[in-house]
Amino acid sequence: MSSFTTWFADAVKRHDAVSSATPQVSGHVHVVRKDHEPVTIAPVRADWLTPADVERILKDQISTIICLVPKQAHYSWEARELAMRLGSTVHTMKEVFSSLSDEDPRPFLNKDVAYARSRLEQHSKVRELRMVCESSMQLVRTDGLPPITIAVEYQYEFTEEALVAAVKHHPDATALLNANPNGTPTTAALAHAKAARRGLFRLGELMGALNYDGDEFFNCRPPGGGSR
Amino acid sequence: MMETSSSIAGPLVEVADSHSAIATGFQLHIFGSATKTPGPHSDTDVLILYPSGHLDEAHQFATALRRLELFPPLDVIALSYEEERELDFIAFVKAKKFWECSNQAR
Repeated sequence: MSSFTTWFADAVKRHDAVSSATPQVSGHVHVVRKDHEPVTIAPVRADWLTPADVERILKDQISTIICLVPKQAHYSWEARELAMRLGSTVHTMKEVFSSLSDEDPRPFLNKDVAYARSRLEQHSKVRELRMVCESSMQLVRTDGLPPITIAVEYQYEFTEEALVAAVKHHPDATALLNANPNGTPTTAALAHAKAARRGLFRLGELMGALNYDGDEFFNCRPPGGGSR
Repeated sequence: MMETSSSIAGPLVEVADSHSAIATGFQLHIFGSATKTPGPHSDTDVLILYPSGHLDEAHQFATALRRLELFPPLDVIALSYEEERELDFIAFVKAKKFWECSNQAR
């Protein structure tokens, strides 16, 4: 039994909805829940999970959830869709902890991402929304506007270092959406975003900016963060 | 090192001591529920305070701390001194300093 699997089982055991968590020889963890059916979780140490990784992990045993343990780790949406087709799913550690109380934890999506997705796909200039990873999405727009990629963050204080971290995490993101309605960027973060040609918006601001391209998009600050 | 209300200081200081790029003036603070109530907590909030001109080092340091496999996990925020003044963050969250780099040779 690897110490990593044991460490993971010990962490999951502390969840309020969990009665027991037992490491298995396969490296998966069998989790007995208080109010719902047991689940098996395959903890994985990787920074980024692809469909090929999912095929390899689920080859011998279909776990309920593949859990990416490193805090900065994330996964391609294609990997998650493949896992779902195979009867499993992919979650970050945070998603696992947020979904273990759900009868079926597999479809769980962070509520901030889910809300942003539902609002953005209703925008009149958005023709199609494609998830890229668990927290970013590409928006295909109408009226000749170029597609853009939005990464959802949740920050109380959006600092310059948080911006650097978010851009490294989502190098293709055109704009960063702070899903915290009370979150504020620091002056240095805004200056850095401008220099890096990345939008840094709250949801209302982004809804306004989606009508524009280029500088008009990046500099858009609708009065009152207005949306449409 | 000031005493913290949790046992996380050790691993954090170990990472800090292993980062030779960290300059004089870098500080580590703890704040949030870990300083107020007995555990277990859902996470541990840590502030890195760094001098101007050291954004890259602060990011590397923050990344190293975020990679630590600790439970509860760390939530790391890094602020330059200017940003801290802009937000008055330390006073607002009642953060407690538990480490500071004062080695001029680093």
